[in-house]
Amino acid sequence: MRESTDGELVRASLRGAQEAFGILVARYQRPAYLVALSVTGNQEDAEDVAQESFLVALKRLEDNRDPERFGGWFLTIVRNRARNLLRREKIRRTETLSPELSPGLGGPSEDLARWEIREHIERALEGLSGIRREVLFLHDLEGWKHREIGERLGIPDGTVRSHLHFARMYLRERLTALRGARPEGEE
Amino acid sequence: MSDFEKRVPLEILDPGFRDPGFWLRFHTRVMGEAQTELARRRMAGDLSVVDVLFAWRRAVVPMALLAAALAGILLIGHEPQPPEQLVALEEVLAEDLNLLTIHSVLNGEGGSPDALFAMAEDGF
Repeated sequence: MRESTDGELVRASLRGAQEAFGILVARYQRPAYLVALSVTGNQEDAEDVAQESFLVALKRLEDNRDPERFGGWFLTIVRNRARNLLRREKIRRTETLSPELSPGLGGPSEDLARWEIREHIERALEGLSGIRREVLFLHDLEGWKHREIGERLGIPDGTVRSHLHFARMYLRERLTALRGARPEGEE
Repeated sequence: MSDFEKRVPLEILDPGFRDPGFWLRFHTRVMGEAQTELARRRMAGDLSVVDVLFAWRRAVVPMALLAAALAGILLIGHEPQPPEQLVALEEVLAEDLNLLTIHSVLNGEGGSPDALFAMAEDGF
């Protein structure tokens, strides 16, 4: 069943098949999170939105007229819910956790370094449009191909390539600028 | 390597990067929340035609009882009418006619025997 198409899994989920829906969740949990993150810019909000979106999608599964294109339909739900959350919460953007509140695996010094990197990346991402962040995340983090992204976001492959190109270029420039803006004495 | 090929390492944004159990927990949480809806869908799929018809009983029986009760209230609310008396056609035709009946003629209440004879000839 793991190799089943989205359409087969959706049809089984319509009948309440737990395993089928579980595979859909496993298949789309990271993309859902990344799309939500690209809109909210906040990890906790992205997690909440992704989780809620699965439940909303399950309840509205009959509305998905083309089960084979579940991905695009579902990511639209995620995007809309993330936007609604932003509206509701007056754009509570990028409230990064302090290093003390985000214990990791490698001890305090590693946490600090990671937190710093994450903060830099999040700040650099702020200037990117939502669609470019989505394309960047889905390609560079989730590993989707241009064609897959195009199909699921409803945009041509060429536009995906273009968004990816500009997103990467912009991010590198911003990160370089942010590193250059560090106070003296920091490495 | 061109600009296009250079990618910025974004893995740090993935919660599973720091916490390998993150996505498993996320999956478990979503599936836990989805149980009710999945169960509802399974139940809806299991229903046969007989089940659906039988399910109507829940709505139909109280409605029938309610309708019967309403009909009873309406019937009690009306005054009973006296039964109509049946009247023979002959009585209706003879009403208000002051004529001799065969019975009275034969009993001698209609006049002289000559007259009676004449009436008999004419067929009364």
